[in-house]
Amino acid sequence: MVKFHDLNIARVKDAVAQKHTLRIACRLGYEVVAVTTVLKNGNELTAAPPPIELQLTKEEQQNFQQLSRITVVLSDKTNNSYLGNDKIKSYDILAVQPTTEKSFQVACSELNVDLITFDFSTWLGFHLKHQYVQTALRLGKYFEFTYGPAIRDTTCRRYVFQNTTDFVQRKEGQNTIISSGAEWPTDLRAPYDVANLAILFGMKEGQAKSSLTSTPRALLLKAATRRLTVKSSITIGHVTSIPEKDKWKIEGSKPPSTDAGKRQNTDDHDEPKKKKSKKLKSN
Amino acid sequence: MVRLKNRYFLCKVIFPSPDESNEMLTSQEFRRAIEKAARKSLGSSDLALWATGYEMHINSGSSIFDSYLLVGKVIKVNSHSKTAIVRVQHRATRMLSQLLPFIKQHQKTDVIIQTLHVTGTVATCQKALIKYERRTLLELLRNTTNKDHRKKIQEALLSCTLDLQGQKIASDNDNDGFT
Repeated sequence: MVKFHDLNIARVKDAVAQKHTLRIACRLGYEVVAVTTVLKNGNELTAAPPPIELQLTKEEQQNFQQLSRITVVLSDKTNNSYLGNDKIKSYDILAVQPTTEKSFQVACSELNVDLITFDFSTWLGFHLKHQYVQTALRLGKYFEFTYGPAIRDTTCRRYVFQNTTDFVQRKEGQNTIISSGAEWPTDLRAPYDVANLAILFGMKEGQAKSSLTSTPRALLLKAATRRLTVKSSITIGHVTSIPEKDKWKIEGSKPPSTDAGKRQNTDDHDEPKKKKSKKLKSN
Repeated sequence: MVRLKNRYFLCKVIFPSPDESNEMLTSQEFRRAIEKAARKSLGSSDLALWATGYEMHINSGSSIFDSYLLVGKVIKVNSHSKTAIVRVQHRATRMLSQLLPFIKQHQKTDVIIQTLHVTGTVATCQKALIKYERRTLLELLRNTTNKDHRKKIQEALLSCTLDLQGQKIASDNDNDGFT
């Protein structure tokens, strides 16, 4: 089944307001949600906050998934060496928000990052060079738009449309996701309404829906490979984390046989033995 | 003869404020909320899509402007379940579907409008509404812990069910909430 994602719900100090926003997101039909912490200064880095407990029904609890995300605001002067830090690895998604052309170039080519976001509510200050965008797409990075500013403020709306249509026209929304950036529950909109907004931004209908479903899902898988794997080929985990049915692989024993298998096995064992003895006798 | 086509939007109105139960939804107020957002966000040509179209009022002087601003019909509003059916002309489908996310307020309270279904006839829209209401009632019934609430939901379900002989089990409530 198709799952709708909203990978940018702003982390707010008021815990009650945060809970309310997440509950409304669940009610509107979002099944995967990420709470974003914005980091402007590298010294303020803290580990990922735990998921917030919501009073959800059993069905909702099974489907609703809360993730953590960190957005690092980049400028020319920032030292990016802390991006491989363990605290950053504790977050599910690592996003970067460039504010200058140089930081955009670095984000697209050098940094090991999942997502590149922009603050489209004002003039960006730099042009999104096609060359850098191509590099980022080749390296499997994703881009993000937020529709929250367009709904909150009429003056920001103009800039949001200007910037998003400019970007979408170049690459038709390839590898882009759309999220709310919601600080309050009133900033959220239902998934199909967001898809309609995406069409306003210049995306095609199929592209608009996939920016909420399949593209964020691919992004989450990419984020998992960045966090948990070595060069996307090997995962290292503790022995205790292996499920029971796979433990025979470590113990060096044979795979467990089922009941049906046992009955079949006994018949098979009998027949070849008989055949072998017959051959010997004839010789 | 050119066929005059309409599109019916089934919308759910969500009040995210904590005092949700106190908010009443009326068709006039909902129409005004749409009209307000339309005046803010749409240009003249898109606003004209709201006109009741084949109900021409060209001859009466000042009322041309009035008829163009008449929001193209909020057909039914259920104030209890907070659902509404809005009718527009076929060529205004895209315009309304892109306007609904920008509606922020209804009678000075914050509001989120969710489009549930877009259909070509009222009958299919009503079918979609019945399906949606049935699902939400069943979910509510499964998840309530309060005995009084559970009883009320069961009564609501029974009031619209028939027994094996095809007769109604419980009496109809006159006030279903439709205006």
